Amino acid sequence: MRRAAAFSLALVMLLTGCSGLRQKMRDEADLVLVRAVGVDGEAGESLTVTADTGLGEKGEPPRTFTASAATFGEAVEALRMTPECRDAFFTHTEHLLVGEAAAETDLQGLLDFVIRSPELRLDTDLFIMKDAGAGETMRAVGAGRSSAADELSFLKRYAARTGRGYTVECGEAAADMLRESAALVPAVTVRRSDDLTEEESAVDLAGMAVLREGKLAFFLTEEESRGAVLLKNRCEGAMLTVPDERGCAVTLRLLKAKTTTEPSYENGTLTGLRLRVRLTAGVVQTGGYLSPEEREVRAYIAEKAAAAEKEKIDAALRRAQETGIDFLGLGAAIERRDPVKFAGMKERWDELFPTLPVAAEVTCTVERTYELNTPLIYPSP
Amino acid sequence: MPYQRAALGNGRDATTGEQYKIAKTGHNSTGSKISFPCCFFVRSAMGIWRALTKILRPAARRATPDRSEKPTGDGVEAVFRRCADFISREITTGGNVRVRVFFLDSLTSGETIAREVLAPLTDAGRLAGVPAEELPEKLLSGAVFASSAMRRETLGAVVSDLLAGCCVLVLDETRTAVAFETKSRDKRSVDAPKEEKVVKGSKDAFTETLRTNVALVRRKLRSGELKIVEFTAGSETHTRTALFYIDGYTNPGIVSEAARRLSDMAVEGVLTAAAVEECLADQPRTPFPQLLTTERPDKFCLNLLEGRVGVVADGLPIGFLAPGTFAQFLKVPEDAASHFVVGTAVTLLRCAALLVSLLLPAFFVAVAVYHPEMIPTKLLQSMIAAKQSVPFSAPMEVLLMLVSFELLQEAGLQLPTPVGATISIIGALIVGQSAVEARIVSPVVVIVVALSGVAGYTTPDQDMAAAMRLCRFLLVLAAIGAGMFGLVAGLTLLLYHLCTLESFGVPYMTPFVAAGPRELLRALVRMPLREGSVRERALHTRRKE
Repeated sequence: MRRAAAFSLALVMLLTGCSGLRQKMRDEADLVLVRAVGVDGEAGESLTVTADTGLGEKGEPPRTFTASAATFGEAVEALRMTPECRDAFFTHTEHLLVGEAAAETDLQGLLDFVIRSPELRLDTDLFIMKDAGAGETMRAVGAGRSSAADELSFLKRYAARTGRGYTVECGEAAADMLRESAALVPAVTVRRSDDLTEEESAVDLAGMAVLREGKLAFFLTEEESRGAVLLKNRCEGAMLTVPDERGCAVTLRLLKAKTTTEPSYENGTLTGLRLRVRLTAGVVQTGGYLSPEEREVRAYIAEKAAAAEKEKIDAALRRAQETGIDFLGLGAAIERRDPVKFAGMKERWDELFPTLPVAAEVTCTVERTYELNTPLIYPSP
Repeated sequence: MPYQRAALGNGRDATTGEQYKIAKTGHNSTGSKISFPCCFFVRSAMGIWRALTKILRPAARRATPDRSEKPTGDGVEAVFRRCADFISREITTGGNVRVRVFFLDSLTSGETIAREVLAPLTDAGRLAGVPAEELPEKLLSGAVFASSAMRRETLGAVVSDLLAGCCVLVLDETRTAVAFETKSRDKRSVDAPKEEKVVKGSKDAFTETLRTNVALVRRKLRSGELKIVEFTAGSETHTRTALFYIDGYTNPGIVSEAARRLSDMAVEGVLTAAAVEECLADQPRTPFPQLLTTERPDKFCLNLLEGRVGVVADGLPIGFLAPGTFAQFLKVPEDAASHFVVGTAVTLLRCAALLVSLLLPAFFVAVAVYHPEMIPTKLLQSMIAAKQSVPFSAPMEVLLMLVSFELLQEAGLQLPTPVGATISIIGALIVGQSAVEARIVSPVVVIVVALSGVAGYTTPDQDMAAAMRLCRFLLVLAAIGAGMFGLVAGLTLLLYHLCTLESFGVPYMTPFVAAGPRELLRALVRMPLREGSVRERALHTRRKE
């Protein structure tokens, strides 16, 4: 029995490839923990990969390493060949920042590598750099008090609260492109503001970018991005300010958005699409004289909010139909609702979508008349 | 020859007193003359043989009389030759019969012997006219005041009685002996348990005296069904051992097997707990304990009620319980003493702590060396920062710290209590902190090993804790060799080994194997007492509820 057990263990070890485990031994002290990867490259040129380690445990400045090769996979391997980055450890890569040019050239190849690589994770966040290269941004941000990895981590946490976008993982983007042939990913840009010195840079969310056929198609405007975020129900925590009847500002925080898709058919043919968007919000601030505790006041504020948000939703829908790219996933929503009926028009969906009458109906409910999650007294800096 | 004579060399026949010196005189025992060449060879051979026998045979056995023979005064004296505490006295009874009285001064009470044996024995009025042939009967029928008197027909029985603290009277004329109970009452008083902490429970513990221990159990289990069978174990120590069981509860098969093992104990002395454990255990080679040990009579009685057998040996302040199963080693009587919700929570905590103690260092090594992707990013960053300028690899650090931990623990155990506590504090606080500050080990490793060690202390049974510590080392080595796969393979082998063990025919892993869900639940959850006790099915007790 003991011999049988020993034999079984040895067999399993050989069969599962565990005999090569020794090669995977790593010494923690030598690990170079890569937290963000930037990719740049024009069509016909080699790809440049920049690895960023993020800020150290005690705020040490980040280290960035660069290598170039024909493909992303080769560039990562080339990065490992550099003396200072020999033990680069990519498993903890949290963010993949792709330069605009590289995204316009081939994003599918990058995602394919991420999916196949045993080291990189599917839950790595994907960002598209707008109007700048990924590598130069990472180095610029790293020259200051922060790092690209930490800046992107901050964006990930607070993206939804800006109301201009939300973070998307590589796996999610790849799945969207496979299922809907289009995907929405967040776009970031370099921010230079008064609180930063001349050498310092930071990254900021610049709305959403639309991917189509494995490439960057275009960037959405701020208004369109907000509409897309609402339709995708990813706006939790976003702020919204509307004027009241005296012209004072009333600020609301969106707590929830829910969109339901109602296709209409005539003789089995899709004739239109109604989107019911239900928003739930809480009052953050009023002009002072309004009393949101009263039902009529709340209804008034809600009506104003719904009207304001409807404009943005309409803008997003307009852009989608004008470009003929269903980046809002409306086809997938119809398919989920009526899979049998949609099966007949799935092949023709790209033709049907631009001319399909789509109407959005937005309603808002003000549920909370106070800010629940924000402390009244802010801690002193 | 009534006694076994020493094979060769200078010896003395205990019966005839003949002194035989074969080699020196050149005569054999029959007295025949041997020629010079023969004499030379014989003398040479005898010399070699004598030297060999001196080396190979213990001196005490050279003149040991046959103990199955009838008792005589000389025979007894031969057995206890060179024993400073052996007292031999020849007296004349009131009936003018010469008798020899023997006792061991160290085990008996001289006052009791004088008052209860010698005084009535020499009283002319009591035994006047009683001849030697009738004297034993007279003594047994109350001529002396000793509480217990027993006739002894063999030398072996006399020796056993003397060693048990009796005073023995030997009549050389009739070659009979009578033993009187005259034990010394010098013994340690019943004290609170020192090794097993008691919060809500009885504060008494077993002592080194068998009778006291029997009394402690009897006081808790006042039932005629509690049976106590005595055995003598140890060819040299003649230690009395007692087997406890509750008739009607305990599986008779377990009782008879325990009795067989106790009577077959082939050891020279029962001076340590290991002597009993190794003789009673099914598989003495495994480091896992197969007998529950306790110094608490309440725990002893609780287990007897569950259908186990108990063993207590004279001279050992410990009770042994069989069959021992893995789950039993994680239980303490405090669980039964506390509220069932608290008892359950503590039991579960103890189980979790056992797993932490066993697996944490190996898991850490596997993850740190082979699977750093499993460590959260922030923690890994912190670990990498702490690891800078530490000269050793993670596996070496863990092994070093585990060995250091064991060394500190051993040092704390070997030293007297106040010094031992100081050593522990020095080891934990100063050495650990200094090692981290000196960058010899990283703080994470210190935390992992310390956490594992502290978790190990929650295991109530020290033998089980020691076995687990041993397995912890082996699992760390497995993890160094093959990462998570090695750890899982090692754990599988450990489980396989545990599943092959049996204690008195009961699977060691009961109720995790070979039991129903209800029993499994009861192993982990302390049910309210009003729901009644359910005995483990694997014990095959006569009464189930």
